[in-house]
Amino acid sequence: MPNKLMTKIAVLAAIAIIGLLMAVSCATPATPQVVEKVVTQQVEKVVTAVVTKEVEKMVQVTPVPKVSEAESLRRQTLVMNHRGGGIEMSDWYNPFPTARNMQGTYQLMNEALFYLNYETGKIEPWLASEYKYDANYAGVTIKLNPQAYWNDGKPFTADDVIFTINFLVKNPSFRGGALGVWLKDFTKVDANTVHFTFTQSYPRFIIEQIANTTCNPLLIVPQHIWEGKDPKTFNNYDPAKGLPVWTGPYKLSQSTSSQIVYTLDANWWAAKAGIGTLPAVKRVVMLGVLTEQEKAAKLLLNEVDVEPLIQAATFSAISKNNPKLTAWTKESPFAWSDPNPLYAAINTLRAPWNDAEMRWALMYAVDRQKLVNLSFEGHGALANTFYPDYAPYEQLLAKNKDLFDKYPITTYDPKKAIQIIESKGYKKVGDYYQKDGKTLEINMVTDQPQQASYILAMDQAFEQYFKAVGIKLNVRQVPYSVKIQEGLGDNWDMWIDALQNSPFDPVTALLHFHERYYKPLGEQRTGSHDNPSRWKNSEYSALVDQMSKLEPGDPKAEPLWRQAMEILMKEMPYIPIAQQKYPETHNETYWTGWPTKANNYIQPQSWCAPFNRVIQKLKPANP
Amino acid sequence: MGLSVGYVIRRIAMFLVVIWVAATINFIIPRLVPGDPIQTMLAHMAQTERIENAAAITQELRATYGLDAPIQEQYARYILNSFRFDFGLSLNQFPTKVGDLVLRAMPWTIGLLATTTLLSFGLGTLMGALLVWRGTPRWAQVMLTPFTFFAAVPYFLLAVVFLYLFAYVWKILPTGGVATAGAKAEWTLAYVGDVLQHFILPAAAMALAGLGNWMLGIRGMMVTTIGADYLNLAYAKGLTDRRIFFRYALRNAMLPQVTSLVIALGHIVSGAILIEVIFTLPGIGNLLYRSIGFLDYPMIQGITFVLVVSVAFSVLLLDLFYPRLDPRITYTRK
Repeated sequence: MPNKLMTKIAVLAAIAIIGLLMAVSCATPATPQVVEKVVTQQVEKVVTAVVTKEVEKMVQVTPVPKVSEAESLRRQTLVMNHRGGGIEMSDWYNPFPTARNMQGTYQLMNEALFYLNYETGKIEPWLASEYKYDANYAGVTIKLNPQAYWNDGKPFTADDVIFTINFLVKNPSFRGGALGVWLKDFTKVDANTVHFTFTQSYPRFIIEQIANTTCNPLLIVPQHIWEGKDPKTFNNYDPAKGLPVWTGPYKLSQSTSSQIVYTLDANWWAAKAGIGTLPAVKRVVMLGVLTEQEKAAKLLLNEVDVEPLIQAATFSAISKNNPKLTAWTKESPFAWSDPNPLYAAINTLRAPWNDAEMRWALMYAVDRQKLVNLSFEGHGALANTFYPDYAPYEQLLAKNKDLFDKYPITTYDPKKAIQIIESKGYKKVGDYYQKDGKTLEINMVTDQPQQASYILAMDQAFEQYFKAVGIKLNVRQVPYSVKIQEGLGDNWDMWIDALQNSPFDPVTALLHFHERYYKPLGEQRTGSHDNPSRWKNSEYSALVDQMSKLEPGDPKAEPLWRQAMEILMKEMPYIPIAQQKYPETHNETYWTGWPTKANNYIQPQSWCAPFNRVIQKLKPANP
Repeated sequence: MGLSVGYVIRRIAMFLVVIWVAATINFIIPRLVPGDPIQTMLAHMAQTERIENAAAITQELRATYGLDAPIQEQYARYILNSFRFDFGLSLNQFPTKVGDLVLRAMPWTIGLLATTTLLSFGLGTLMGALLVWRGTPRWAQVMLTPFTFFAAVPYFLLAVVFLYLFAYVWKILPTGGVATAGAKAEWTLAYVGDVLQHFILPAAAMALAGLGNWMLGIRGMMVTTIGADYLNLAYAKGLTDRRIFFRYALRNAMLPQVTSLVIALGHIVSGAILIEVIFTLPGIGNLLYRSIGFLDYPMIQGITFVLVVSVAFSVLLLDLFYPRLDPRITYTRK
């Protein structure tokens, strides 16, 4: 008896375990395409049998493909992933008082006055129709598109613009609050025209403050919704009342911490006005996938249509298994160049790196082409300045090739590095050079390898190259936010980041090294990209000031640029490393018409505002 | 009951002291760490736009976070707010309240971890006990033994293997998330079923990984119980094997297991960080993972505090219920 009872219990326990495993293995399919696959297999079996019989009878039968309701819905849906991880603040749709990334909102619901097209190099009007600077760039007049209206039907007017600028000026900590520094006055000229008066000549106002060279253009809010609300606490989220109200082609239909769903607004003003095309995508789902493995799996299983951030090596591997996956280029590195190349700022106030010759020794010490190849697993591209490899820059640099011959930035010459170091009185003791009993060291701050896969290989390569010329590298790998914070301080010799740039205006990068952003040791800097090297050169700054007074593209700027570059190259307060390549992955299983190098109507930045233009171009792959 | 009023009062007082100490440590540690949360916020703002007015922004944010007040005032306010579960505003998800974010993430974590903890505890305890019970057939013992191997396999490794096999190779379960892309979040059978389906893989990984530990724990205790005189007496009295197994052997071996279970349940609010990251589940673990990456001190403090309270509360309950579980334990003064 006891044995039987125990057998029963053991069997029950075993059944429970097996049940658990069966639940895992026998679960119903999760995705519509899996449903379709199973159904298709069954249908295929039946159809094959019937067709075989009928063919025997010499009767032709054409099987009608069946599409499930779920599959039909999927074919109208664009699934995109949030760049940089999880969805945050799913009930907060006020973009101003937060440093939060407003992805989804920017591309689908908000719209900009102007969009900056990196590929054409043009500022494209959207909610605004034109702008005209005053004499000497003392101000600007912006005309709004009179056909624009909010998605609740109310007209988009100058009152909305003035209202928005007003609260930005009053709240300097808001996103876009820095605008106030540049504005002496702003007035409504008429229902569709506004005028801004600057505190100083500012020919880059539109590109820097309105269209913005990063992907966060100035957003205008509807006065009739926001008036009387505290912009610091108003969450702008109440789907039952139709909030948020914006002008974009999509409305918010669901927002949770796991996904956000947007639905097409058939009444979108731009389509009615004929300046835009009503997107074929009826519904957009934004996911918050974090890990590289899950991103790859979702792309392979066609669960995601656009993935903004994946490593080139991953793309190379998965695109072999799913030929529907495409990127900017067909060949390595597959990716579009981000305008912000990777560079190492050298702290020019800490000895011995306060000596320009010693900074050049660092340049000569590293074979950066090899370092880039190693770091990016053969999919990288070397940067020879802080400029991206865009046509306007390539042309400018080619025209000034002699400057690069004079200052051979990309030359790998460890003997020259050693010669410089020894000329400064250093003697080699063991592996490293020493002077006055102190080892020649450089303290470097980078992201953690979890942040980006190239970090580990890059840090190791730097370590080996520096060691080969007797310099001891101490690396501190820290979380991204700590790295940014460290960068604002001065407790490092070398700090690696991406330099914020313009797609075509060479002045933007030069401005980062302006003495206006210089801080002595012990003082915190304020702008992450602004002069982390703490380098000061009045002649250089004066040249940059002169260039700043000219509109982007003015040929008078070129000789000034050359002089400024020569000063910078002689002093070398930074080391250029690599072009930042993001193989944004597009899945053509459901949608085609993605931007590529061959069809470069706009840059592929699905995490940025110009994606508004991409979504209008997408066509269903299975109409 | 085995409890005296004095003991209960002392025990509750101790619970409150633990909470106060935890809150105080929570207050002190971030202030000892190099760096400044406001500078962290500024650093993030500086990533997206040029900051031309840092002094004004710093001043405004310091006032918003109450960091401009004297330290003793900050401390008093912090302690008071902690007891009200008000941890202020998140830095990363500014200006959302930490409490709101924790409350929103909590159901996903508790739903997953409470289920898997209880499931693996129930199955593991029963299977571990059967492993050494003299009445268990040999073949059953052989079959059960391999499950103890899971004690050595980390849950996140099982998760990755499951993900590969069930989601990618066989394509029978979803890769992650809590529901199918675009599914409407509402209380319908279809949506609940969809959510449950998304939880099968993480739950199976967690439950199987936990199973081995529970099996090994009870197995050790059962070995010491099996030779006890009271079992021989029970056999001699002719009691059924089932009754002896459940009422005499298992019950006496259970106490350390129950202690571990209650502590494990106390820990569930901290989330299973890696499982939530691997499967993109919007629970506390995921929230904590991202908060650490951002140095979101108020969020880290909030989650840590909730964790301390839940563990301390679990231990309090355990102490109060011990006499019920085992009549030999008493806290009354003789």
